[in-house]
Amino acid sequence: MKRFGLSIVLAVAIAALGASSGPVALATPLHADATTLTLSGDQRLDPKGAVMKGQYVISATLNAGDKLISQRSVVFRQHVDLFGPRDADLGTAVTDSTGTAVIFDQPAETGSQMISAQFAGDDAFAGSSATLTLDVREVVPVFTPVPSPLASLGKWLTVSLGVLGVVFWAVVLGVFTRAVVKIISASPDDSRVGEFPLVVPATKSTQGGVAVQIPSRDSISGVPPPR
Amino acid sequence: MLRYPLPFLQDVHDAALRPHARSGWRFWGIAVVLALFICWGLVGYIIQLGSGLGAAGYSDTAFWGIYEANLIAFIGLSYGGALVSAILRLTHAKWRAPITRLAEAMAVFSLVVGMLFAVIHLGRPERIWRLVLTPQIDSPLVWDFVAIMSYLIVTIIFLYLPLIPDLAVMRDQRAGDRGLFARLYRIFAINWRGLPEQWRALNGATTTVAILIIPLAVSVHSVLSWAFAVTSRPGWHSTIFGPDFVVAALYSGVAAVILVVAGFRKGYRLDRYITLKHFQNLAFILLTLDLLYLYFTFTELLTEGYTMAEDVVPVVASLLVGEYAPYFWLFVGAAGILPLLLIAIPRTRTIRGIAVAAALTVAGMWLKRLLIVVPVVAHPLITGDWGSFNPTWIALSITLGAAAAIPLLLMLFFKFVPILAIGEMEEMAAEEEQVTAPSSTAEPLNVRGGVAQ
Repeated sequence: MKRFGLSIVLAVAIAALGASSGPVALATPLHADATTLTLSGDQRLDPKGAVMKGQYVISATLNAGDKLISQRSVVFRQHVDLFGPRDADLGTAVTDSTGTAVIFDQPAETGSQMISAQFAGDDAFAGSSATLTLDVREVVPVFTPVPSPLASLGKWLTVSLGVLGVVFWAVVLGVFTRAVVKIISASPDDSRVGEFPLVVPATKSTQGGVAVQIPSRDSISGVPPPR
Repeated sequence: MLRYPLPFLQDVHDAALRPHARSGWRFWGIAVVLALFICWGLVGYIIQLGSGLGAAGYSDTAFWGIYEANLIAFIGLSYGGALVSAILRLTHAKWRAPITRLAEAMAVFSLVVGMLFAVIHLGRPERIWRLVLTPQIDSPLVWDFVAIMSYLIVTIIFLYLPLIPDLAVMRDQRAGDRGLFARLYRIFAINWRGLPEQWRALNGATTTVAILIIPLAVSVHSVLSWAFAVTSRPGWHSTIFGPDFVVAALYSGVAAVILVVAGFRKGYRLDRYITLKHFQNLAFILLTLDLLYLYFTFTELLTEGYTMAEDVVPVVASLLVGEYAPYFWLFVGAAGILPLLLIAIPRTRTIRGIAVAAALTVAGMWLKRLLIVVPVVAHPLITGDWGSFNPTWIALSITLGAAAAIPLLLMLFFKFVPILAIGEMEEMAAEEEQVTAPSSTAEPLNVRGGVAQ
């Protein structure tokens, strides 16, 4: 009875652990051997031993006590804040005969990067994880865009359209303002505006009715006739 | 010296100011009906604001629809009004005088109403300010914003300049009046006295603005088309979209001018000044644009469909023989064939026949704008499922409310400014109605008002 009670407590504890840390603990049988994951990172070297600019090698070594564990998958992640804090996958690698899983990383930005590795565990071995702060000092662009032959044209187009717009507005506002000023200045404010009669000769039309002679606009002197 | 009968001068004056008289039951009846449509549209918009664009029939698979079609269609109407007036002015078409005021006013009000749809089609309209505060110069939507705002200001100037002499007439009529409107007339008439130097300044400015408004209007509709054409969506990514939009706007705009002119002619008994000749001249312009637009439509579909490109064929097929075929062929009939026949056949080339052709054109071209937007949006780019856009009563109410706003705004506007360009009318009449000059010993006669002062 006492063992049954202990089993229930253990089961609840395991379930709670599983809920808080993902499928790792849930997938780990009680009889599995505990494992340790060791994580390291360094600049990547080419076959000649030269440092490959902006590239890093991240290694995770999995062991259970003194025993190196091979043929196990290790998931590498990086903590990022893009679109909210989260762990972004860097990749998965399988441990070799030395118990080491390796990925190559080409960081996008300099500074401290929080890297984590996780072995999920299986029937024989319990899961384990490790973290590493990688100090990235230089980066190379992951993707080098080929400049579009039209890119410079686009800038010139924008500038040209901007200039055209400014010229257009200068003309519109200039013409409008000039017309308004001319209209106002041609006729100083006068309380009699619109009240003076225009005296024009009228006669009986030869076609019947009254006909009136209106002077053409150019012939008007601009001086209001006397009242 | 120019001579023409005095009664004609007086008639022009009276006719231009006819809307200012006490309005009858017919005016108020129409105004109330139009206002009700607008109120109903406002109710729809308030509901849409609360519920989101889904209330108007928008969805993930139909992210653009009726409002975008309305934006293009209403701004297109404006384009026609401005261009008709500008081109007729620049070509010194003498018959233009009675219709320019109506065309210019329609250009302003249909543009204002059309611009509203740029806000209405946003789920979060308060974000429209981001276009101003954080503009992305690479975005065609920013180009649209700049082009439409520029066009609005120039259209208002284009309406205002020829209005100055007529505002002076209104000012003179209210001489001694200290009321608000009298004061406004005084301000906006800017001391106009019809002096030769004033006429020269005014005519020069009007001509320059008429010249400038043509490329501006072309650019507005080209930019509107680029909001579609610079995307890579099949059906929109077309080089002909710019000229196609310009011609479509001009076509529907001329039709709208005919409708407005016919409506106000009947409403204010302007038949003496706006005659069958005016309608026939406008109808011939409409006919030309009809043929041009049919040609553009044919060219677009032929070049896109002939290559049988995998991504374009479904869209073209949906238009010609598929889900949207009934609407497409309805457009061809209503805005293509029927107006063409009504204008081409002399027997139907009456004012009524031309007005019917114009009404069919306006309705058909609105449908065409919907067909530009919806089938392409509904065509999936990633998944295999076609979307669909079914406008709800809210979308239709807002559309009808906006359509009702244009005639109502025009009716109210002409309650305060002359409906005919008095100055131009008299100038044209003087040129048209020259009679034999009388002897210079004629008895003097006093004439008041109008440009002759």
